[in-house]
Amino acid sequence: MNDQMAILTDVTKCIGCEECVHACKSTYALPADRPWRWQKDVTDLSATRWTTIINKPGGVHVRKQCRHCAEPACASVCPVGALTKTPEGAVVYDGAKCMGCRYCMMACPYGIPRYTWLEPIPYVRKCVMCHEKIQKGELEQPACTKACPTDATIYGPRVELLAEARKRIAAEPKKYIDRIWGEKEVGGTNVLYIAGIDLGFLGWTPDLGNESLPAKTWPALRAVPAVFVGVGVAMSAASWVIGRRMKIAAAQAAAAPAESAEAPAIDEPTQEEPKGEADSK
Amino acid sequence: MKVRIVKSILWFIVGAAAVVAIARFYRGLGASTAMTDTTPWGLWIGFDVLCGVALAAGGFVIAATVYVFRREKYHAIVRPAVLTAFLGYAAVVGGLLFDLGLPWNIWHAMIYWQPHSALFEVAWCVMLYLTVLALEFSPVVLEKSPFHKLYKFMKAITLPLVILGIMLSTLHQSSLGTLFLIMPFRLNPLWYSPFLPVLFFISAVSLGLAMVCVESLLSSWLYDRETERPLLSGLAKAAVWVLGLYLILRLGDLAGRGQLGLAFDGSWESILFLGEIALSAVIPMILFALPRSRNSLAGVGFGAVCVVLGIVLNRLAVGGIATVTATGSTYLPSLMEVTISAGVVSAAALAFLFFVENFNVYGAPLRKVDAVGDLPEEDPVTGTRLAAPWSPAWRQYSLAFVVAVSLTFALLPDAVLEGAQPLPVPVEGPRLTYALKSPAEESGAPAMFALYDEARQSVPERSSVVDVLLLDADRDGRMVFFPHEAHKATLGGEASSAHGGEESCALCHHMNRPLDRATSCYLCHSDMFSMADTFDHDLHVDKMGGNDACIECHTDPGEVKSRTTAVACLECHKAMAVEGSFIKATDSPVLDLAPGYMDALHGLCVDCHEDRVKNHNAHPALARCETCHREMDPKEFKKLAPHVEDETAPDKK
Repeated sequence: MNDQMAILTDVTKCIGCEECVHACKSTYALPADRPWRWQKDVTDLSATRWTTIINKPGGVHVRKQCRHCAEPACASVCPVGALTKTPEGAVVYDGAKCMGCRYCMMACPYGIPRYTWLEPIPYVRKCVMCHEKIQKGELEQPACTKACPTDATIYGPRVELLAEARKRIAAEPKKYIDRIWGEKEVGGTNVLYIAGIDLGFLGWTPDLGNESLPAKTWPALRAVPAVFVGVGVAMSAASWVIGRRMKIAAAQAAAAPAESAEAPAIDEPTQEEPKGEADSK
Repeated sequence: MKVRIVKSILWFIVGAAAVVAIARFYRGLGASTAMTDTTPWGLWIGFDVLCGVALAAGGFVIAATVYVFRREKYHAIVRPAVLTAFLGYAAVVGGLLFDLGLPWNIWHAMIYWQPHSALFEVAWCVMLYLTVLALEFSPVVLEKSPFHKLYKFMKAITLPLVILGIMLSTLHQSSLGTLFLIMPFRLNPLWYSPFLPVLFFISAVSLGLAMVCVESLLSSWLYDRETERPLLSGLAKAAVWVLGLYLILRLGDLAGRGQLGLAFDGSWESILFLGEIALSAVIPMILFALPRSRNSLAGVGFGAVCVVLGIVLNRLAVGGIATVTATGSTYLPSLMEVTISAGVVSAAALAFLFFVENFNVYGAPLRKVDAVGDLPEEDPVTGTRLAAPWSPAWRQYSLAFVVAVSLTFALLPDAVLEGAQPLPVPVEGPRLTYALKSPAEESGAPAMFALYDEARQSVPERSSVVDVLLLDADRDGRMVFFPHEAHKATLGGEASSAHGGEESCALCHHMNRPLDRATSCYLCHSDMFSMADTFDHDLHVDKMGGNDACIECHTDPGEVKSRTTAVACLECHKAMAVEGSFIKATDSPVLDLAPGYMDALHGLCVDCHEDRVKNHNAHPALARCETCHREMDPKEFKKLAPHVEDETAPDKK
């Protein structure tokens, strides 16, 4: 993933002018931000605002956008593959495939994807790192990084940006917290930050950990074929054994007419199913 | 009579839901639900899907008991259990169609193979299981049909179908838990667990047992049918074991992760958790374990209802309630969401009653109270039947449905009729204050302004104190000093002829609105985002002489009289937009959303100054953001120029 393209935002250089926001909006012809029932704060990310500036005390401005994770939770949960991670690094969206389940919005650890709630035919909206326009050659770099007047946010190969970030931190250790946000978080992201303040507020919890999120689901999903076959075999075997036992019992009963055997309680079957499940997991 | 009342109520709910369903697809999710970007899953996923699938678990549990484990005495309740499961899953799919943003793409899950998505697996399993259930239930319908061979074939493959059903159920009941494994940060640790799939499966089995009891008791009450008491006691006894296993796993998992303390820390989540555990496991286990209560209908019924409520609460918690703290956004389902959910359940219940009354679900078909009555006699002359061939019961249901439809139409919120509207934003008008004006430089740099506090500041040399307007309409504390007098002087002033005399005010101010007094935008657009309908039709009718004057504007009598065919406002009101006005006409000059405050002022100030920089190379600094926008301590700002309501009500405290 290190040859992928990435964005590095140096929070200490940002002056909060929102040129990146406007560049994004004009590139994608996004309409004006308005307050809606689902959008109390017009300056937050929305379907019409794919990147935004969060103003923190002390004149600190933090750009918020899709992080383009190395192993994106949104793309891994999408049941139709509408969200995909491109080899170039961007996580892109194909509205023609989408069925609108909004699982991506639930899964994103940064709460990034937005929905066009206003429309009767709604789609997911988020930063796409201008992937398509760069591929087509319309743009050389994302509109936002190009628009930045102070070079607070820059575009380049991830490995080079990481080196640049390390260089800046080493050069001015007092100015920066010694951490590159996005280097390892949730398996690494393609949008990196260096800052003088803690950027934990960008995720649902201050520390998201370094494990990629799809890795949390995979152990359960990997077991699916085994559980499927296991339950099938177990049920068929149980049915066959019990059927045979009953046949033998019936034959014996016919041979020696005796008292009818009281059927045992129902505990047995219901107990067995969960056990089978637990074993095969 | 009972059946009639219940069915009328069900039809009523279905009628209300039918109207809401149209509204939901016509206006979209934003106008009809309470979902937001931070809570994108609401009642429809939490209840219709998560609870619906779990509530229908009785189908595979009872089928397994009877066909795999050969507990023949439960044969009597296989059919209702399978029917409930089938209708339950049909309701899940139906409910899902409302929730999906693009429901017509639901089949995409079948062709775009995404094995790493839990939802993809759930989609396949639910689809296959719905088919299996339909086949499992088909003998009930086929035995009344002339297709005997098909019936025999379906009977013969029952066992393989049942086993396939168990396999699929095991997978998707647990996979619904897998859905949430990827959101450890959203979900409260009392509910998030790596074992969610196992917990979901086991709770579904116990819920299946409880639901079969509830449904059997309900149908016996409804149709005055003999209750299968020994069977229900047997199910209750089995449920004790499953619930016990669930309880041990749930608490053991919490203890293993060291989170058990959270359950007793007194937060609202801990109370919800304890309530859920008590309802879903502890109370029913006690009721089902004691032979006396287990063998009484009240004991079984109460315990089963507890299980149902408790596990429904669990699914709702996982599906949304337990994420509130992490996301910081509250969600309360809208009435329309509740109506749709209730409507889907009611439709399923009506279908259940239909099958119960017409097929051998509970042994023989149950008593029909709303059978089609005797047909009325034909009229001897015309040959038509004069009365509707409906029984009184059907007339009653139709009435309930129609009343519900009309009531719902009447009560639909405006958001649905007109589409979602932007929220009103409180705004602040410009306020006059004094500022220090720096001496103008020879280089032509613009004068700088700073707030002037008479008590604390003295006027520096060569500076002067001038009036400025403080603009901070959206109250975000970033305000602009606007030297109004200076602009008036530059642009020509009221009496100047530089820009057309008095009309120079119209360069920046709207002059065209009926009753407008050339005020600031905020006085017209007091909520900034409301419809800015600048045309008052009635006023024009009155002024121009009533109905005779229609032709003045609607000049072509052959055309439909509408806004688009009328004479444009400018034809009469020449001064409406002065030549060179900085106010931009939008695409629709008559009826449109007024631009937001920020857009309006940026359009005026920035566009004009950019133009002046470009064409006159004047004051390049004025086209830059930081020249106008200054961060300021809101407290200081309020002291200098308090908000209007603070000023008028200073003693309120």
